[in-house]
Amino acid sequence: MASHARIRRGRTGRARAFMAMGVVVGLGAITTTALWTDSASVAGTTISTGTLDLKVDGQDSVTGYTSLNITNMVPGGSVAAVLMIANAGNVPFTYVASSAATNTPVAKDLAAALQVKVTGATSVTGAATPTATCGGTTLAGTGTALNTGLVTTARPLAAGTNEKICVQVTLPSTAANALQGASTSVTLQFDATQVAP
Amino acid sequence: MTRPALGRLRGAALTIGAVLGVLCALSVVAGLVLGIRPLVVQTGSMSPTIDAGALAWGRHVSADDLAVGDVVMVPKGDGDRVTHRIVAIKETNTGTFVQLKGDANPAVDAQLYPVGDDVYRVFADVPYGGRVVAWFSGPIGLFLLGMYAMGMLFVALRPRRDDGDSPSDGDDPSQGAGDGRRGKRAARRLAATSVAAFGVLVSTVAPSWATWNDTVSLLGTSLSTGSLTTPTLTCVRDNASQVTITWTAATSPAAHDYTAAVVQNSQALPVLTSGAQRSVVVTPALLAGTLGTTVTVRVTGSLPGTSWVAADATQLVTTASGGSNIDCGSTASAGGPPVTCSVVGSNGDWKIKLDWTSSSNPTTGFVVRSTGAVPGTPATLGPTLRTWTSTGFESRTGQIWVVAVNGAVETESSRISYSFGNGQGNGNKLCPSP
Repeated sequence: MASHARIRRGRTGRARAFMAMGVVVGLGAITTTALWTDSASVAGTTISTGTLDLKVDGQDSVTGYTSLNITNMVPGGSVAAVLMIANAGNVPFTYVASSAATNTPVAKDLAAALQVKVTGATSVTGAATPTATCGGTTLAGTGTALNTGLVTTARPLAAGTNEKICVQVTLPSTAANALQGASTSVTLQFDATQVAP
Repeated sequence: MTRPALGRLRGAALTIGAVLGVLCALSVVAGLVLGIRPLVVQTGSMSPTIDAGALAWGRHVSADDLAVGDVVMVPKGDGDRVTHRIVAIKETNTGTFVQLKGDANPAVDAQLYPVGDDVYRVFADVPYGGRVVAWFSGPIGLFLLGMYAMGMLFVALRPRRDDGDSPSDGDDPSQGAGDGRRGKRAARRLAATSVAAFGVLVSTVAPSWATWNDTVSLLGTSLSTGSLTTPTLTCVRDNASQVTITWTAATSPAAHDYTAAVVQNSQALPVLTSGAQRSVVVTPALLAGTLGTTVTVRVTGSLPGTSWVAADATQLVTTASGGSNIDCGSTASAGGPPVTCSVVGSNGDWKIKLDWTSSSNPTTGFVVRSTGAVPGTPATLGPTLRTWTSTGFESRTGQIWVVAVNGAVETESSRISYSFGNGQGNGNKLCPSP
């Protein structure tokens, strides 16, 4: 009787041991199926509790940006400002930027007439509006108009680094006569997205 | 007493391990059958919904099943995946795209993700589960898993009977003799299985970037253009055969250039400069073809090098027939006839009636003008008329007045503010005489 019980326990123990190995199978399956077929393999799994912090001119939001303001603009006039884009977090990111403009009056589409240029100049050429310009060559993947991408090709910034870009807005000398007395309000938006380290 | 207690403990541990193992195995099978994939969430951009370090499960879905609000795992295009919430689904002629946003992110993802066959909707997650999986895929975890696997293999593949335990219990006479062989075989199997288990486990967990993002907006930029200035013209009659029109050159928003011409015969007039003063001289010789009439001299400001021009300034110039006695004409000025205004008509058909007095008849006649579009205006009337009545109207307000026209010279009456409200009655129909 006692020996029978031991034998039975021995058999069921074996079965349970087999079943218990399912844990290994399960964890193995998770680690393998989590390996998406199309994904780049990264050595080890890092769970990041890092922070991503984009700052423009040292700030997280700017409500009264006036460096690109200009009044009484005439054809051929321009305004320019240098912006410092900083990665104040501890993970690398890439950033893009866009602009959105609202015309007043709406019928005078000043925003569509204005030309945009983005360069890597670290200071503005020409002290004051309406002749301030950005020197240097135009950065690759940057926009030439308002209401669209300003920086369209994502620019990388390592954690703790920064770069300056120069933004110039010009009213071309070919601007239509109807654009007299027009105004446009512009919002520049910078978007940073974390990238794999 | 100790042996049975240890045995029970071992039995309980085996049972728990077996239950967990069966659950794990079943979940793997279910996952394969149902298209479910687990994923370690590596960052906190979906917190508090899914925290960093969670283990999330996504189920394969087709593009049609997606809805705004779903949390999905989609390929980013660079091999990694992003796990974010859908805020918009955009159908374009190049396919369906989803706009995603991390719950903890202030802004939507800059990139639109195409929806292909490779989209998984997150339906469950276990906080810290990803950390556990990650830990088990690390060196210590792998080692422990390996030990666990070996231990279980040892239990499962050990000889059927403990050697020292009840030798008389042997159910197979040959067993005792075969123990050594069986032991070696078991050891080989165990080693092989362990290597296989390690092979399965020595794999890395793909990153699922529930990526952080951050947005900075620069508000407040205002760009505005200037307007060119229309000059104020001053006309002086120098003598019977010459008038001079002068104005001050504008410098805002930039220095203006000027041109001047006679509208009626397109005769260009040379603009003379004297300091900031600009002038044109008009003589009968420049008014060929228009002698004996009133002509308009137009002065236009422009910005050099651009297409920008100012609104025209005009000055009337009169000549007697034959060109004698050139003089400055005037546009409408005050001093027109005194006018009274009354509301006449009947319900649903209320009108404005104007009456005025004038001791002499103007050479050309009268014109009734209004703002607010009084029906019938502007009305050009003969020089002998002293009254005018509109057609019926309502729901308009503005001003109405009478102009006496003497050739090029117009004189206006004072302007009367009228107010015709809605409806049939005349309670809200007002036209008070000044």
